Amino acid sequence: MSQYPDFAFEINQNEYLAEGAREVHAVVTLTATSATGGAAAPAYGAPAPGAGGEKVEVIIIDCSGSMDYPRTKMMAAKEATKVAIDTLSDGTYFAVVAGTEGARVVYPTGGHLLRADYQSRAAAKEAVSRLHANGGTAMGRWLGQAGRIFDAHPNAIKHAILLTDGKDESETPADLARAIQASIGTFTADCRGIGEDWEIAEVKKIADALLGTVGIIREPERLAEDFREMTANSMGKEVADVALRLWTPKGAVVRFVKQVNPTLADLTGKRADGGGPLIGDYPTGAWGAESREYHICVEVEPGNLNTEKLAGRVTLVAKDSAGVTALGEGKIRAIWTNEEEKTGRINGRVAHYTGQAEMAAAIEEGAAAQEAGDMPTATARLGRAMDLALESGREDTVKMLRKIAEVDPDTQRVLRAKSKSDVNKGDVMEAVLDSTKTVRTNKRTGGSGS
Amino acid sequence: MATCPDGHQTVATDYCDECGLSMGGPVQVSEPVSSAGTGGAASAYGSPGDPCPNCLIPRQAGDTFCEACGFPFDQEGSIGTGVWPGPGAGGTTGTDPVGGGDPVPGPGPVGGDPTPGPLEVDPVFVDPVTIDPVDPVGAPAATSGWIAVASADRAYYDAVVAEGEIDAAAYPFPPYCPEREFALDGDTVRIGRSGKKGSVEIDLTGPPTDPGISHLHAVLQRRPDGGWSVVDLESTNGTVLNDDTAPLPPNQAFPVEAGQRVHVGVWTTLTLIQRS
Repeated sequence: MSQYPDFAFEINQNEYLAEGAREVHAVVTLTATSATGGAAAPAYGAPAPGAGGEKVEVIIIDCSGSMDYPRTKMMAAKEATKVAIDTLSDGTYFAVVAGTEGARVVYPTGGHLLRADYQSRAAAKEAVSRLHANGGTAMGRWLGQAGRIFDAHPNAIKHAILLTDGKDESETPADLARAIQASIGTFTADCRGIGEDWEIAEVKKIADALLGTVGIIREPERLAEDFREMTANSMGKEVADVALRLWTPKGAVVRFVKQVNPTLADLTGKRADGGGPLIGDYPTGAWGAESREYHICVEVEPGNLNTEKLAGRVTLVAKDSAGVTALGEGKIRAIWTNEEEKTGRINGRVAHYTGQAEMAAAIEEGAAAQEAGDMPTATARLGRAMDLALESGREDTVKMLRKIAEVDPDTQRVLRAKSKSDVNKGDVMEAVLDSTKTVRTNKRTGGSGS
Repeated sequence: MATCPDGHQTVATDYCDECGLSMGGPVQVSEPVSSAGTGGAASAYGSPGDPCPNCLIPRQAGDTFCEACGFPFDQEGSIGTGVWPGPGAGGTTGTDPVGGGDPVPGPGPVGGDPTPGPLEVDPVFVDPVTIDPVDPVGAPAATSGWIAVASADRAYYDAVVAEGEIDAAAYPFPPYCPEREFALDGDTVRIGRSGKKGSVEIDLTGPPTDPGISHLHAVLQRRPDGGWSVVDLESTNGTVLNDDTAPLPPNQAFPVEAGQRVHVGVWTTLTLIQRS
């Protein structure tokens, strides 16, 4: 049986509420340290036995015809897949799937998975060399094929990498939705789009449901490093299915549970029964040695003045063949008081992430408005995003916004959004996707405390 | 169970399970920015009300062992390794009986007949036993001096696994299972799990919960000579005596002498002991 990582909980909140106030915000920081004591990810080219239990990795590569236009995309995809294969830890079960209007398992060919070792890696890389671009795109079928592969290893840590370059043209949105639904809870997936011809919204549906990230690769030569990083990250996972279990008191309403760091992901709609009417489980996927932060907002029945209530009890639970294991606990508290200097404060970390989330939403809405030709809305939203980026010291976001909007050279604030024909689509996509990554501290003020 | 200031019954003792009201007295004046609640290392499970890392039942003040499952709180190194399923406060279990679904597939024992009196002695062949499943334990007879000790039996479990009956990974042997004593009072002592089929005297619900025990699994019946017989009540996974491998045929009484063992479920053994 695998060892679980050790989890430390940190709760950041202002627990003081004014009389009659109901809304409680808290940022929960979860830091997992490896049970095996060492660094999680093996070095490139030197695979070591992985941490945690059995692992299965499926690499899905878009082999539609467009991957040859330009040919550098297909070449980069093959190179990156070989790098990923070399990054697998010894003993990892793995497969490579060529995705077209169908999905073909190009390695292994025997119908059951083999563990990564010198021979299997060589055979797999040889199969990858023979990949060629020809066909359509039906990502739902790719997910279905991956699901069938994973079915044979129900208790393993299961992860897929999905690479596409275009739209999901060979199936209906309903097909894709059905396939996504069938994959939820079975495996996690990180998705990448190469070039600019793919739809962020489509790929985000897959990544959001499967608790993974979406990224854009604009320069094909960058793909290999990205694949290496994703694979190394996957190899560092030690426990497959961890849920954030939230108890709230009777009469309380959970407004939201959102992951806010390292990337933004709204878990509110993924609540599952946690074993009682007051308890909900929010899936967080697999964990290795890492740290993540969650912003939780609960609305509670106000208590009397000078009383304290628990607004939320947060536990992490691992669910596997051994049952349910609690991995730690944190408490979100609420204290009603008249002291204005206590209730007036907003906890710095809560404020920081509220701002980061608003910035990401503003960029997404601004980009959509720009695409639709609605310039006033685009200007307003991108302007708001720029203000938040400047406030929080997100230089990376400021740079990206400058490519898609006209800014005042002195203040850097947005004067107007550029029109659709004046912007590079890739720049817009990059700005939207980059904003879903967050930083922990406000780089301007240097800290995240209040 | 405790009562919160608003009158709710609560299992947790730090904040009420239902309304969240603090049970800890005057409001703490703490750092307004961050409070670190740790889990997983060192003294994380040191406060009353914190869930047991194994079964999630809130810890009682002053406990060094979990009252529900026996997990030793002072063994920090074992945090995270006790992984057998327990109901806990809101915990979910993966403990479907090995046979899958409701453990008593056929018609349960028929109710209505009064509890039989002392049986005619015929250790091999007896009429099927009828027991009213809803009947609560009657007026206690004089204590017989007999007890049954329930324990998690590694040897029996290994034999079950070796027979190929279960997958050890799916149904692991529980690392922590305190022994429990049951007095054998009266003439009929039911073995199983209390619940929808009524209550049983030897209730093996746990935690830890043996996944192979039926609600009404078997019954111990007093013989006229003061000794005991065991009857399997058509349990899903059967009842095994001593070192046998084959389960007992259902609805037939088999004598069990002092010191002998009755195996039920995946890893549970009841040892009969006569105290004079």
